[in-house]
Amino acid sequence: MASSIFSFYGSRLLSEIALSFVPTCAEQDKQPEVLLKRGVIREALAEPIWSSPFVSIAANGTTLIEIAAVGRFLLRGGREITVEAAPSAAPIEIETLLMGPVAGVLLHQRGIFPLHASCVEFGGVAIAIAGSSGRGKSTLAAALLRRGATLLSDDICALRLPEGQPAVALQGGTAISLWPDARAALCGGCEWLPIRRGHAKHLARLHAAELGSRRLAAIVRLAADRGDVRPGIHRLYGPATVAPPIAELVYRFSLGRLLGRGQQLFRDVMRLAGAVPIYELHKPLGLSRIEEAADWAVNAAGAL
Amino acid sequence: MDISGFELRTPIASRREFDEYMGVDSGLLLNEEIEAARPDLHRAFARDFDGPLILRKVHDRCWVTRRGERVFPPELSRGAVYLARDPRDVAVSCADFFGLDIDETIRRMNDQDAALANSQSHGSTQLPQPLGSWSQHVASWLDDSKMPVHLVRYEDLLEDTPDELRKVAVFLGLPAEAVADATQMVTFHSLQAQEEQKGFAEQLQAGKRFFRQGRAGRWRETLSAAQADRLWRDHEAAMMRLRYA
Repeated sequence: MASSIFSFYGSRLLSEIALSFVPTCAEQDKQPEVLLKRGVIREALAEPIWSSPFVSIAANGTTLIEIAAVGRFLLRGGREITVEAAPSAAPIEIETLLMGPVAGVLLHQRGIFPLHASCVEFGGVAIAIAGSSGRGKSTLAAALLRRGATLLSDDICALRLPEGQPAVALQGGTAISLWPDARAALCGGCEWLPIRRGHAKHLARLHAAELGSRRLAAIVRLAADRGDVRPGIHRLYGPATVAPPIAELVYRFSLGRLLGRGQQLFRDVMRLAGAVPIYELHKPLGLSRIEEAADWAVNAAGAL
Repeated sequence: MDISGFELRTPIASRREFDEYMGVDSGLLLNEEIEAARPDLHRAFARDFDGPLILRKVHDRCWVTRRGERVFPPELSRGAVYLARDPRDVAVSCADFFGLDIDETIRRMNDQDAALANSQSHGSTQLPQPLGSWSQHVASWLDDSKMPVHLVRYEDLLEDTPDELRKVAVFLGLPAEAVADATQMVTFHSLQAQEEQKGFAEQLQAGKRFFRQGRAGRWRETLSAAQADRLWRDHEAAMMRLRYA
């Protein structure tokens, strides 16, 4: 296939690889900002400053992400992503990693703030559902989609935080991934594909439209579970807005810090707390009280 | 002391923590990939920690990955405090906690493949944690952890809290003053009162209590003779060993 330009978390991405879950950019003649290409990644990074079994980072910020059964992704300077797919990898498996951990590192390299949140458009504004891993961000986003919201982004919400102006949420992918219980309850009609062979989580493309960006009207943070005591929503004020560990608000804060973004991320969190109302939502884990929670989130954003 | 704040300081097999330390989302990984990385995760905790001692609350049995690596690396561990309880009381308590009937709970307590947070139907804030049967769990820690282990029986802890906590402190090399403070904070009544007032982060079932009775031997009022016999037949050796005859 000929290369196309996609709109990927606020950047024009020229890709040699066909992408099914990222919107195509209307402006195909504009200069791309990021290149995604196939290639052979010969070896591990020399002298990484940090590494885990899946990620290693060099002193110059070049980052290698590897999941053996899927492939390797080498990210350089926030401008170039080289992909070496494992022989058995399906395109959806590559794209799943591209929209998650690869996008996270790319945003840190490009200096764009990645909120750890799923984000929907509702009534012309964006509502971000934040919370730590496994807390139910995508599930609550799916409940909002059922009420007519449109997906802007799943799990990572890229933000622009211009000084003295409203915060803006940038579109990520056009797909959402859910566990079977949430799929059955909230999104019966979609066509679902496993994010990886043998994985229970499935992904569905919800639309193909390039939505661009929307003013972020509210962040709804899913609180740590407190059983069913006092379920509900309340707005946070003052220091409470930035009280959760910063790692919970920023997608892969630890990698951002290693990529030299630590101080700026702290400043961005402070600016965000000043620019956007932050609500804390208490509900039991799972699907319990999900419809009420969706009502609370919509009311919080004033988007009714 | 905030009983729910405990989770923030010593997360239990937390996906959030795995994701940060490993740099990828555990939710995108297969269970065998998560499993293979658990020893690396624990090595990363040790590498990044600059205090004297990390306390971790662990549900897992003491296990080894398919590649033969110990999930809880003995060379990085000062030791394990193993908290055991009469399995007949465990059955009563677990049935309530998970919202299961007693017979199903007893069956799971004898299931070699029993695990926590390994559902293929819904997400979890925790990573999968293999438990094995109750007997296997006991033996895995007491016999095969390759680290010093200090056994605490729940019944003894209720009977003489200060003395049991003192022995734990000695085992871990903690200062004796810590014990007096801790004894005040963890009376069952104070834990229950706090749950009543503010809830508790680890409670699963809506409308139920995590801190229920804090009594030993309640199984005598709850289990049928057949249920108690079944537990005895399943776990006789381990029960004898821990003086639950």
